[in-house]
Amino acid sequence: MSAPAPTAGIRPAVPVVPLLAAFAAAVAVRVALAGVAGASSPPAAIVFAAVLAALAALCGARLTVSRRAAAVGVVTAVVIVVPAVAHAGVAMTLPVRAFPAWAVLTVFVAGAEEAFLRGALFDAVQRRWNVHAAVVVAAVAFAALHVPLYGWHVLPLDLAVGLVLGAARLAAGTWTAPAIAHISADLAGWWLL
Amino acid sequence: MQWTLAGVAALMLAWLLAPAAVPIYDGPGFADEPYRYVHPPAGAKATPPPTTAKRTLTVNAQGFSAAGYSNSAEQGPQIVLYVPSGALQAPVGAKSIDVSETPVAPSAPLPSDGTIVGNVYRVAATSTGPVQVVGKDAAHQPTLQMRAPSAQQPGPVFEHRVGNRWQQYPTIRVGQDIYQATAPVFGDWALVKVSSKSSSSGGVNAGLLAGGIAVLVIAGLIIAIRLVRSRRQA
Repeated sequence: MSAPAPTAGIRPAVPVVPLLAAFAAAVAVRVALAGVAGASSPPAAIVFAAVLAALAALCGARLTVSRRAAAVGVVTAVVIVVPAVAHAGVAMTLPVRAFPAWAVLTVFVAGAEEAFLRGALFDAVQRRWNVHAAVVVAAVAFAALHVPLYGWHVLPLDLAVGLVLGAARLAAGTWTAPAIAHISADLAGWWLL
Repeated sequence: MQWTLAGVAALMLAWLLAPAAVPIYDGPGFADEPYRYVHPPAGAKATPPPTTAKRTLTVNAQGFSAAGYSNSAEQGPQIVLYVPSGALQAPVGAKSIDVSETPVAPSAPLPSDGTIVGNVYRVAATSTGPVQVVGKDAAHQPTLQMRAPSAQQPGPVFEHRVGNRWQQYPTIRVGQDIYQATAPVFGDWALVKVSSKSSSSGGVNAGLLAGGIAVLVIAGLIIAIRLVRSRRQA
């Protein structure tokens, strides 16, 4: 009896544990490279994002651009940013001339994080267990990556944001939507400082 | 839909419970300008003088303040005062409260438990009469954030001058070199590096880097091998 023909569009399962180990290692590399500069180290952030992007590509996470993904992403961005504005107001103390370069870096880092967390990792966990586990695992990983950079007190807020981004992933069916939301929220943060 | 509702609910709860000024989500941090000292130590970079933060807060008919931030103007403010709504009370009839944080050089008496890092900031609130902090707990009292001159760890702690001595306040680290404490009183505040604590050098952590790269390579190989095998079996 011959083997069944491969089904078009079905990607092979990615092992979850090595994927999480690789993610933890990427965070460790970022922290190690950054030293005291922490989140303010562009080279460390670039290396981190490059590693995540490479892992996402290895696992077959594809960039899908659609109106639905864009709409979900924008709505999610509003949901995330509004409480921050209500809490902090708009301050704009940072120099506008530095915004473009910073924005490019932010798009790369946040985009790579989403390609991995709500792309490759989400798919792997969903295939291994279920969609609920995928939302939770991705949210916990998202929150955990911020702890070495900002401290434990950011865990609750970043976990909540991770859940919202996971919901966006579910609603849109692609990591592009949470990427749009994540990038938008980060860019908006510039104007809240 | 259930995860959307759960996520939004979690977000609202997190913001209600968050410390007064949690870093907004993430994004690569923006490099701060060199620390501006009132009296620069030997070897410090030449910088403009540090700035005074000022903000006018409106008050309601009972004299309770509106919420607001008062930030100094450095890139990466060296001091931020957050006043929650109702935290301050001015005399009845006052229309506003002026809050300010003025940098001054450390002067005697200095803390007995360590060394002041950076400037002392004189925090004040003025109105038509005395202004009081009336918030009863940390969530309803003013919060101070200060940027330390460096991110070396262990980090400094907030101390407030009380007469001829300095009193420590519970301090949390909210950024690489930014520290936060509840400030239930006005007056002189400073970051103090407590004595007898060794500090990290602050450069690249070679051991962590090597370990991270090793795990990354191994995990990457495992993932690649498993994917290749899965494709062959498909």
